[in-house]
Amino acid sequence: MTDQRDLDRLLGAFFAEGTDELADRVLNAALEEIDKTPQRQPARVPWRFSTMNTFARVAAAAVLALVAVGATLYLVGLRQPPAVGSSPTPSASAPVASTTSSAVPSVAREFAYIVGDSRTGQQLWIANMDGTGAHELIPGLAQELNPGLGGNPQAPAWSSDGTRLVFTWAPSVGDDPVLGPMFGAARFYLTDASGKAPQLVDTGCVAPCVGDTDPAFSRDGTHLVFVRTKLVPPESSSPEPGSGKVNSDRDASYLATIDLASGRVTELPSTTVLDCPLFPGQHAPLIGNCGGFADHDPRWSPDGTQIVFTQDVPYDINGPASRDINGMPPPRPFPGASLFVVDADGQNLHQISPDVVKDTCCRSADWSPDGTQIVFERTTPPAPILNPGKGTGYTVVFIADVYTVRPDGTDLVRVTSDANSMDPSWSADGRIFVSSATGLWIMDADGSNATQLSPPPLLMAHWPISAPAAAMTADNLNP
Amino acid sequence: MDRDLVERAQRGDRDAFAILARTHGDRLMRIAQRILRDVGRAEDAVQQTLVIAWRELPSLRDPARFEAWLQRLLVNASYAEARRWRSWSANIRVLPVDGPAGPDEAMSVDDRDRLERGFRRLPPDQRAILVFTHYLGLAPAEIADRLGIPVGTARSRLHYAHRAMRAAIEADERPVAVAGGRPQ
Repeated sequence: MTDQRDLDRLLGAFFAEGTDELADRVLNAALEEIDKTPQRQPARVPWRFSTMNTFARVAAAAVLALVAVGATLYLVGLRQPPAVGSSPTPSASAPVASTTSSAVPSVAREFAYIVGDSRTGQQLWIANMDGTGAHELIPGLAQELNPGLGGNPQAPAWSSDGTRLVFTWAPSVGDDPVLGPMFGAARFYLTDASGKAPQLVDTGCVAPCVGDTDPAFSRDGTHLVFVRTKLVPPESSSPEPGSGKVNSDRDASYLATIDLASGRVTELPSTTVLDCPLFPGQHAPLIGNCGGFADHDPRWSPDGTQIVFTQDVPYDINGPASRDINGMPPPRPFPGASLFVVDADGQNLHQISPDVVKDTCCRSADWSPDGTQIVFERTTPPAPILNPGKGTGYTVVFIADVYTVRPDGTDLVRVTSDANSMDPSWSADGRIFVSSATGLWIMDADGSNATQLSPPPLLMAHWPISAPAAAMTADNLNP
Repeated sequence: MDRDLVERAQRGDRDAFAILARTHGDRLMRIAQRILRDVGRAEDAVQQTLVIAWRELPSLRDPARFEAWLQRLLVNASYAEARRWRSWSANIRVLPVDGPAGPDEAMSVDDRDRLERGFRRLPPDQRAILVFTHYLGLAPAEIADRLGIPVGTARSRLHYAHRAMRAAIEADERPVAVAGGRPQ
């Protein structure tokens, strides 16, 4: 048996040997390359408050105060709803939702959102509630958090008082020749509306934990709820051909909470879902294209007693939504999703997706400010369409619209009907943010008074979330 | 001195950066070679690191942390290099470490071979943690700060890396079972 002292001694000697110098030809080649390489200047936001001198701060504060007074007088005098946009189209039959702005005393000031996807790279942006003043919150964030390789911020969520913004950080670990872009263990960072230096939230994710995602604040700001992914051992010690069991690790995904003061993490095992088996020793699916079964988007109810979240579930193989255009079932377990509510202590897990949408996707759930309703994205039908000539490749055509439902699964209301509305979240004043291919929108809870926020760039904007907000939305698209 | 040079380089002074590159190049090479166990791959990683460092230097907020930042870049470049190199575990040849390797009373040839085999089987992140611990002499908290990972993650990686290295040593010490069950 090798004790630690022996191992330390051996490793010390092992690493003492080796090359000591960088060859001049290598250094010179690097310097030649540098001569041809321009430096990347981080984008500057000259009007950011934290970068102003005292005079500029006073002047800016005065201007803001005047604007605020003017805006208040305007709103009090007119109460004019914004112009209705051309898309998304509100449902003609949608009844008026019961949530009103009177339920919430606070007024949202700004909202955060993500621009881009995991292939193009993602950025965290922020804008005023009318869409003006849009800018990247932390220029150079990717290189600051993971120099040389970068990564993607995802799923922003505000504390209820609007003073803190938490987001998931997925660090890139380079491209795999087969699997494409690869990401390391996801973790969380805290910042604020000024984009101050991101602060790591240490959730203690160590092996077999492989990542934490989708954080959201509790109403009092003392806790985060999030999704933890953990590697679990093989179902059996050896392969059993024909049994369906494999000798392989697999991911388990479940909800957990962290007390931000003590760092204590509480896991909620009742919410666990198992993913597809993985290649031994690698974090890649064993079965081609199988994967993606996980929990998503946990959101605390405004009273702090419950958590709503999305859990991937296998489709009913006999259901119409699981057939391709040729009427054939997909060759793999293709995840659907359903809404679940669980008590904050992990008890009383129950599915709330209404029967009418049981076999389709429900994602991105968010509580209304008064806790009486849940808004969500219904994606229907996510039938994989076979790509001729591309082997077993499938294109998944999503038709997404936004609905609201009561926490007990009743009173389903369609909010949009343009087949292209995603990532809904409730703003503090009782309106609903929606992301679509035409940009970000905000509308009343019944879909009326849709206003295009139009923060540039218009396309590929996701996860809009206001500050403060009664509840937050998060990563759900698996882009 | 570094701080002044870093600030000049941040403003686009290539001569200042060249001095920094010469100052830190050898150390980067030592680290990369020990992580990747291959001089050619290590040279590629260092070259990549220096070019990225030049390109991204304006975004470095604290010039005093230049060396730590550079080492983090190097580790990331080594990870990327390792992924391009598809022979982490296959075709393991027991080679002496590139470069001079004089006699060392602390380690026998057998020990070195076992460690080499075990180390080459490790994923890049565990390799890096061993090099930072046993070559640079850093504690987990310092490594966590340098690599931008939680302290618990650094400790966990070190634990698993030690376990793997210990297993590699002890596996070779065990008798090999052959047909008939007789030890060889």
